[in-house]
Amino acid sequence: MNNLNLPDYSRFEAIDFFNDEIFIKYALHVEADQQAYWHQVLGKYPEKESALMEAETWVRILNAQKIHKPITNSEDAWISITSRIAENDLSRTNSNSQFKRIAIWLSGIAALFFIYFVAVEFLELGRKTFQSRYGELRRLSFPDESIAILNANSKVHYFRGWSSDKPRELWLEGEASFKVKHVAIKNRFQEADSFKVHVNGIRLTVLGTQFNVKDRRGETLISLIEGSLRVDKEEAGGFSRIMKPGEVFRYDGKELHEMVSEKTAKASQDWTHRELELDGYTLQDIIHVLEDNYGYHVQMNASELANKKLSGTIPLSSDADILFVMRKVFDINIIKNKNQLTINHKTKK
Amino acid sequence: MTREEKAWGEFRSGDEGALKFIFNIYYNPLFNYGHKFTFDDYLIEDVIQDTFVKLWEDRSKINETGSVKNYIYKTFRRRLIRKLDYAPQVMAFPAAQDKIDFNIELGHDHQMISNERAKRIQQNLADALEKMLPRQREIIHLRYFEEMDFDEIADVMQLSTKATYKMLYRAIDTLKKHLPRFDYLVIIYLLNLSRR
Repeated sequence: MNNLNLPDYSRFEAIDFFNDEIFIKYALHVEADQQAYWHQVLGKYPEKESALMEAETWVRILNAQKIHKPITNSEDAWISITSRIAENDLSRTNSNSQFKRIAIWLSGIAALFFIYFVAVEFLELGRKTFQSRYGELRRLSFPDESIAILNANSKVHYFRGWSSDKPRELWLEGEASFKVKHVAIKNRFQEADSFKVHVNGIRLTVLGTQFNVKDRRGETLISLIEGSLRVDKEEAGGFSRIMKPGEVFRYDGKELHEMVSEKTAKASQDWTHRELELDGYTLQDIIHVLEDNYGYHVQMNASELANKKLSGTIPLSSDADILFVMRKVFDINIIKNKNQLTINHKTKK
Repeated sequence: MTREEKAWGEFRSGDEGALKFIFNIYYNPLFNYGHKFTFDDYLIEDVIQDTFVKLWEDRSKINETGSVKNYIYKTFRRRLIRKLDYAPQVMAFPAAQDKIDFNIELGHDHQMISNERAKRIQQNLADALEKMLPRQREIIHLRYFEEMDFDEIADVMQLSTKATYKMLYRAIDTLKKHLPRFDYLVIIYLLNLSRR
């Protein structure tokens, strides 16, 4: 047999075999060719016999754990599942009867009026909305002294009168950078101390922390700068992930992905100083910024440049600055007509 | 396509029998997995039933999946942990999840020739597992009992692959620290004796 292909096992101890993917497979399902392989290893490293045996035993006794059986047999359990399913279906069809439907509508409308009046007239609670125009940054402070900077063309709303016995909640469209005030007593976190941001169908829960949320074109980028943040999605295909500082997650409307890219969590906040760190950005990304934050429609006639990467920092103080930098760096022609931009190659003279 | 994947497709288009087929495959394994977190059998039973009732209600919104097992384990685990989160009002931040225990009850190895040695190895491993954090024990369980690979473990435990590697590395390190080394020497000595 050819011994040359064997990896070097000379420094392996039982623990290393135990952690070796090929070895685990062998220990769990002994098959002829695998047996031959480990026989060969033993031939070359006879002193490893006891380590191999030990590791094999660990894997086997972990795998041979006693299986704990359910109290109900599966047939009965299934019956109670189907009866619960039927019950739910029934309650749904019942509520379809016309009388009930009208009653629900009427009471719903009445309740809405009631809530509206109570909220606005008496307690002065109500929905408060902040919206930024194209090209405008807004600084918001919330009743709990948390602050947020709202990027251009973005919207945030919440219901006034945050009280201390309920979590602080707000809804975001667009991009914002948050600095959340920590209100919990040390080691006594309660649901009521949390701060929740609803965005694009998912929910972000934090205590005191700094993070950036960018929700554009159906995609949500969450960058955590400080503290701890949990991303939840209820319903089918839901998830619950906890983020650590420095991590960037992307939610595409269906699933959550951890981003491994040049766009760092820290750089995600650069726009709040009206700057844009370009590392990792392509021309296409900048076009998206022009569209999302300044309201332009961009016609791209030099599409082979779209994926060209950039580095450096550009000022975001005005759209004219961005256009200036783009013209210089890419050597392109940009024609501006109201909010329509057309990007062409420079015509050779 | 395996029978299981086929059943998953049929269930999503509204076939209750197909869901029953999947239920029958996973009922016992899920119960066993749940028992590692808690000894409250009624609670485990409840959460399994909830999981399947919810699966049925959401069937039209559920996607195709690479692994039925992973999808079901992940959904079940998430619901169970939410129920177990000691005070329901406490947020499930890392600290809270760490509190939820995970118990591995080792089996016996019948292939080992010396009964005494098998017992000793078992005891050592049990002691070392005791020293681990619950989530490290869970990784060990998913890897060696459920035979999942890294991506699958990461998915079920809702961790990044990087964090999973790190956690497994720590688990292995804990094992390394707490497994007595003199055992090897004795064994090597005995082996040498028998060769003479």
